[in-house]
Amino acid sequence: MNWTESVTPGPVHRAAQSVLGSRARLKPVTGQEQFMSSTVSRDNKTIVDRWFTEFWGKCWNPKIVDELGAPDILLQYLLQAPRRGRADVKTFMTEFREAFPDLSVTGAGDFVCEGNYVVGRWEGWGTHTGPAYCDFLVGCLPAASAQKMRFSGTTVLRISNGKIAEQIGLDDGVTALLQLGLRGSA
Amino acid sequence: MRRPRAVSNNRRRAQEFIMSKEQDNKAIVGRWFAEFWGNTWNPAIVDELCTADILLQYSLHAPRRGRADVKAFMTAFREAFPDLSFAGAADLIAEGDYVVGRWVGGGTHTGPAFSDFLQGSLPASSGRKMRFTGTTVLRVQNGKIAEEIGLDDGVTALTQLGLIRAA
Repeated sequence: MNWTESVTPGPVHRAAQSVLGSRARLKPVTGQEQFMSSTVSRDNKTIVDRWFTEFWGKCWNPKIVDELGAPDILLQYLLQAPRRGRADVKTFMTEFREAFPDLSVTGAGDFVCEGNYVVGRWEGWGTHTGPAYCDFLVGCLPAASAQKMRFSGTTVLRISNGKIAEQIGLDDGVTALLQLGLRGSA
Repeated sequence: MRRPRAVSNNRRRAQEFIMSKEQDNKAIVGRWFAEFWGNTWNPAIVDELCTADILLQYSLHAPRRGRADVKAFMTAFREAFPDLSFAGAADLIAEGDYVVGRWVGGGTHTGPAFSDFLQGSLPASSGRKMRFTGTTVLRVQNGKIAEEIGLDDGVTALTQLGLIRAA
């Protein structure tokens, strides 16, 4: 994808506007559309804020998956295999928290929101004091390894009809895996 | 459902102004990715599109600050990886001063020894290839890029380059 072609350049936009006259609106510029769009954005931010608090935050509420996740929700991060559907997503988090009972993720910066997308930056940490954990793609942690991880990430969420349809994130996996002893310097 | 009449003219004009700025910011970031990160590197783009104290920060490299430092970073990166090229992998997402881009790309290390990765050095002409994804958040201030903070899929890149290994 070429980003220079995927957007309307400002100067061109303005030049076209002056040629076409103020009544000839180029998309996307009608006030009502923008107003509706900003209202949707606010609602989407509220949804994602609750998701981060109750799915990723200190207080895990399994019901939030049924309430805010679309039936075929996709959860995809680099460190673990992708998960699809509410049951799979609940299992993922239940096991993650059994292994890391103090798991917590908090926001690091404002959400960036346009249309159906909300982008959140976060920082997360946890200590592996639970059962053996084999969900990381690169290897297993033996039970109660006491390994700690603390790392940052950025997640792009797509909201469809008020539900989270996709959550695709990048984590600083190098930091996390070196801390957990699952990767070493070559 | 809100009625169109509920929106005042001033509110509408404010929304249009904000929207136009976000479109302008996307156009700036589009050019930046094409000429800084794309397959053709134009060093002059740094002076044209960046603030004097631009911050460039990725998880694989040490942060760089200021135009000269950012130019030196890319010059050295491209000497080491002459075919370096990154491109957009999804539409840009913009709100206020922020633009978020998801990308994919990489290159082949055929140049001099490269020590810019935090995890270790590559010997000259190692022939190693990397191809990985990332997500970058850029802050645009009065038409200039003030911050570019990105996360790379470092596990993929560093494993391909042989700089990390199974513990």
